[in-house]
Amino acid sequence: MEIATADLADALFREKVLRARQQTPSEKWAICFELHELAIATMRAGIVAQFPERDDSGIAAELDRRLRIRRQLEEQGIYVPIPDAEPPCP
Amino acid sequence: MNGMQAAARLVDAFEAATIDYMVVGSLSSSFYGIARSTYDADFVVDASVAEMQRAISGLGSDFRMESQLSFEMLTGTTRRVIHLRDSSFVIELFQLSRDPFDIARFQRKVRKQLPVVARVVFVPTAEDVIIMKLKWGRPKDLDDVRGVIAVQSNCLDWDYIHQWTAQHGTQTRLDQIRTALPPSD
Repeated sequence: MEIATADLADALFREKVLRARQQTPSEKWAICFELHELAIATMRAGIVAQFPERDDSGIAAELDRRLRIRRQLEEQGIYVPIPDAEPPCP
Repeated sequence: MNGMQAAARLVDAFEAATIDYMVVGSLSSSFYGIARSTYDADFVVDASVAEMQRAISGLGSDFRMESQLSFEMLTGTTRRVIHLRDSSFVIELFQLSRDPFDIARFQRKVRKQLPVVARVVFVPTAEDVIIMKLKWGRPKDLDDVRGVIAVQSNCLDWDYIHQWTAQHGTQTRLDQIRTALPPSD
């Protein structure tokens, strides 16, 4: 990282830290959930822009697909499915 | 129902069933550090799968527990995923494992008032959040560690943290983060 970029990154981080110190844990939780809603709304807007012909269910299906991919990438090598201890009754 | 409402209802269900739990993952690091977006709420729960299922079933059809159980390789615990109706937010339940650190952080958990969910909830201590996330070691976890250390600054019990990072082999990881941390006082 160039020195100017590193300085800028440090300054931005410092700003975040100072802001976080002013927030209560409760306020920070509210931000986490709001950011989640915003991230989903942004993903949905991206899908609508890419596939304007799709109806609501088509958009929801694509959103689910993208969220599955995100999850698979994040969980790769961390979780292993456990086979059912007992097979289902016939 | 959004993620926040779902997490609050789950806390109520655990309390009603007298199931010991604590909120971990990004919600716990956001609690002590810098808030960030998350796609899930993670809970460590000291209960059998049957007890968990009973508690969840009382929440009605808005909550659907995946039948697939997963083994988590890092601490050797198991995970159940709960999906919410009409929401992309998920809740993950991790059974308390026999890992010595998992047991220690569960015993040290603290009860905190959270007006945003109008609940008092159990969370790990800031030190235990740092230790666990150093163990995970993914870029997002290390970012969370950076945030907790910077925000909590001089309020951390470093002797306790070093005791576990020495055992986990994560001391170098911690040193690198602390060395690179810009001053924020």
